[in-house]
Amino acid sequence: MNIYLFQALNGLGVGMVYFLLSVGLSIIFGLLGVVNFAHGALFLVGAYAAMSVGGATGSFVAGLLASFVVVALIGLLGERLLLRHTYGMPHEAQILITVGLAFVLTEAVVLLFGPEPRQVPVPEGLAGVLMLGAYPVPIYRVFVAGVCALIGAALWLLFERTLFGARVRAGNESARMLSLLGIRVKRVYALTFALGAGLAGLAGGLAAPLRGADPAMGAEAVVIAFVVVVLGGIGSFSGPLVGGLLIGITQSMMSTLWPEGARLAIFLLMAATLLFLPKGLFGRV
Amino acid sequence: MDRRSLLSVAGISLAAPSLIVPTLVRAQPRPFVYHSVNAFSGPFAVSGKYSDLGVRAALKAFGNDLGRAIDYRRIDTEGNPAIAVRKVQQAIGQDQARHFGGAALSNEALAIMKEIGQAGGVYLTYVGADEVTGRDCNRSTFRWSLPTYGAVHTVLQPLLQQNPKWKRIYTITGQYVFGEALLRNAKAVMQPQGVQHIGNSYHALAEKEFSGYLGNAMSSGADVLLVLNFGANTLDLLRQAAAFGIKRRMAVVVVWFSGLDTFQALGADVTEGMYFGLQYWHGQDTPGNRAFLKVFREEFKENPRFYSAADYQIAMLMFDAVRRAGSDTPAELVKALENHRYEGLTGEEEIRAFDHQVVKNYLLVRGKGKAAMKDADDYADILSTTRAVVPQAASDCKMTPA
Amino acid sequence: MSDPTSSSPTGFYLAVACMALAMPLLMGSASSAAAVLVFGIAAAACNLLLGYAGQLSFAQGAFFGAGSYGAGLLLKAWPGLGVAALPLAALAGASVAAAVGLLSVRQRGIYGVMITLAMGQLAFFAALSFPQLTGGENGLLDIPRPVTGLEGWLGPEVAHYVLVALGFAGALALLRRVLRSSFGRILDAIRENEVRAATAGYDVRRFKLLAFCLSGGVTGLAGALYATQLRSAPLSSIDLATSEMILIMSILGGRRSLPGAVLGAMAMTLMAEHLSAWWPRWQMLVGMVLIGAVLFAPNGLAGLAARWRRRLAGGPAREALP
Repeated sequence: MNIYLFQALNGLGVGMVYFLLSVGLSIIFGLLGVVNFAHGALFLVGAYAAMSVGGATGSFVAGLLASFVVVALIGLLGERLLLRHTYGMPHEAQILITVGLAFVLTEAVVLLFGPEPRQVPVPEGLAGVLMLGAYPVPIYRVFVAGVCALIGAALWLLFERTLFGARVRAGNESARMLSLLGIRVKRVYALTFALGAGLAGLAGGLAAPLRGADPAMGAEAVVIAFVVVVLGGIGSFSGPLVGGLLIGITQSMMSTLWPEGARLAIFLLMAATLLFLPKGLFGRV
Repeated sequence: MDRRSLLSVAGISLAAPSLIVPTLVRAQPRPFVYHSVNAFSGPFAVSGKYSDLGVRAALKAFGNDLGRAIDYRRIDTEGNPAIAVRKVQQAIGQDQARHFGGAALSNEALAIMKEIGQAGGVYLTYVGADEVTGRDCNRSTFRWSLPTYGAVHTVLQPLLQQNPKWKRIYTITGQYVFGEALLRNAKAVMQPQGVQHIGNSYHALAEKEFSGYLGNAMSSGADVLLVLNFGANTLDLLRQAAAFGIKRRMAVVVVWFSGLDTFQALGADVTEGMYFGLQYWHGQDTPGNRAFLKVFREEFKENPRFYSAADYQIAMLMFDAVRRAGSDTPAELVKALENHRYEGLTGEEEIRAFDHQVVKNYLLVRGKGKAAMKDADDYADILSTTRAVVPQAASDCKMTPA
Repeated sequence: MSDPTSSSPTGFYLAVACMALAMPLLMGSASSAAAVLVFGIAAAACNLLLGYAGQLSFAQGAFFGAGSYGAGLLLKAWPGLGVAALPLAALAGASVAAAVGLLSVRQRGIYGVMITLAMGQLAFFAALSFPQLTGGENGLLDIPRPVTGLEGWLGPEVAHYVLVALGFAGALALLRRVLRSSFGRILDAIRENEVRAATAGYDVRRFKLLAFCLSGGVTGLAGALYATQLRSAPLSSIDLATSEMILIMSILGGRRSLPGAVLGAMAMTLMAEHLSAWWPRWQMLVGMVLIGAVLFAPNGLAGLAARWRRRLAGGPAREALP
């Protein structure tokens, strides 16, 4: 076990959270074509939902469930009430409306919880570290990576093996065809957006013990989410996975190789990839 | 052309009767207008929220000692120095504002102190950048807080002396002007003590993921991890450091820490056993702090955080200067503040004339475990305090005396 | 007035002049008015890229910041340069835009947009990495204002406002000229259908690159004027939030309308000024306004203004814009 291997493992852990954060955006963008600038705010709401429900009930699992359900509901409402009016409009309209939504969600959270950064405790059973040689790996990080992998597998099953997933994938290729086939496109859209949002919320709930909950976490998350989605390629499923992992590993490795530039490196990686693979790694759209 | 001039041009016919009313009103003494500049919205809204409490505590404590009302006005910088400058310019131009206090961040303070200096106002702040009473010092600006020299000396010197076993230090430094300043001072303290600075990791301002840097620190075999950054960087680093179990392998020393609000943000499990440098701690027993705590606790039923304490202190200094000078002319206030000695929150404090830096105590504290906490806010024990400031010969401040 | 290629020149220039003259009244002070005009210029330059070339860009802050730092460094080194520093700063903005454009135009759609984001982050990183030049997170301070000769007569704040107003009028006039020319029509064609435009023989990449350079230059001018207004160039001028704000103003105002860009800048600045003094959570209201704008004013504030004018004139409330 040397420092580079340790960094790579750390990066994988971080990358799994990035995957969960971004896969929802990839789905939303891929199917709905919506440039969802509220994605980071959804991540933020998920973190605070997990914190408050987890704190109130004393159950970490309840908190995680809340982070998915609450944000999925917000996504559903947002799609039905606001976004569906914008489907015919150019991208800029969606950007503006989702930015507006992001402002509303973020300020609502500050109104409810205050502007202070909040700590979210790691559940008792998952505190502590695993020793890999001389290097400590926090158990909670391993847990998070594991959960993200499980969710990833479940999503794969959902999209590849279920009717709903087939409809989503078909809609990705051609929304027209969907409605011609008699499928209620509106429902698919609403559920897809709710799913994408819920995943972002769940990512927030999982990440909260790692990075705390604070009002600025939405603005950071949305940028990372877009970078991962674009790097991975829009509309794909493996895109956010590989993209997220690559970004996570790059960030961690660079903190040893080029620390000042570790943050910048993820953007350079994306830009460099696009130069050679103009549609990202697995992009179809 | 501003609204007022245009209205006066347009409404000359209305001017005559409108001159009579002000004459009647003028029988009352003009209120003293104090502009508190801070971030009440945006990413640094925490600062504004607590700063407001501090100013209100000062208003309560000072009472009617001025013999006239104090008009407390807030300027919301939204955490953006450009907006801070613009609003301060507006206040100076429109409302003839000349008395300012606060700032959420160093970049705001540095930018607005230039405007206030140009306008010949008076400004008290408490941000950390050395330049405020260093290279960019000016006649209008005073600073209540010790910059990097004092912070590093207070924290590092006694710890190195008391822990001869600490031979190797690894630093994690923010790659920005403030971080560099901390590092420069830290190196200057480490060298004469014969301590080895075995490595340093820089990180970017926007960094959130510190596992790599912590890995570097852990693999270096150091005895001490010295944390040289501020704000969210510090919080993220410490949270992740605790999760990695770094406290079992090396001591963690944090030079620049806010205090109660950041202890609360991390929780005692994280901060237990770590060493922190603080500008202010509510647990410090001084006459000045006792008076402040009485007012603050009565008014707000909680313990004050750094921003509240700092805004209270500078507001009190401002009001007190107005009282002592018997006027609110900035030049008189500057004279009243220079060389002023008083019972401050951290003990006896004094305002140096040559650079307008307040010589106050900086605190070295150690985080306590949950079991040892006497109440919900008792996060740390004070180990020592010092009043280390850059001597005049070594200072970058070349302000010509009045 | 919503489409500069169809309105009369006199109407346009009159509107611009009225805006410049009335702004201090509307905003309440010379410094707020200057900020609105500065961001009006930046949003109008963004319109060029977004509304005409069809290129969404998150790098506008990089061009703005380049202009701010450029002007700041020049004026600090040679205060005698005065107003000559402004076109030089615009050149800095254009150069950064050329670099961004070169990489961005090779990509289609969202991918090109993300390249602009990456380049914007690179610019931010560069600004932090050279604190000797930029002041790092503290920003560049003590920038001397260009002397206009009007200071004695109008006072320093109003004198500087005159400078900003002149820059504003010049920038908008230039943009209008460009958009009315064949260059503007080619950009339109490219935005509507890139493949068709390429088939027609236009070098799409070259035109988009030129659009970037022009937009970057004008945005750089805006940044330069902001730096002289603030007497400082803070790091915030080059960060992502500035890019986002410029985009929001541009879209809110109506992405094809130059006067609309100014309306967008004014709306955002007014909201920030007045609401922030009243409620710390004011950004929630801004969010609602943005949502409302998309739902009820899809062609932006300019579109709204055009609709009302048509209603007042008694005609149908038909949209003239695509």
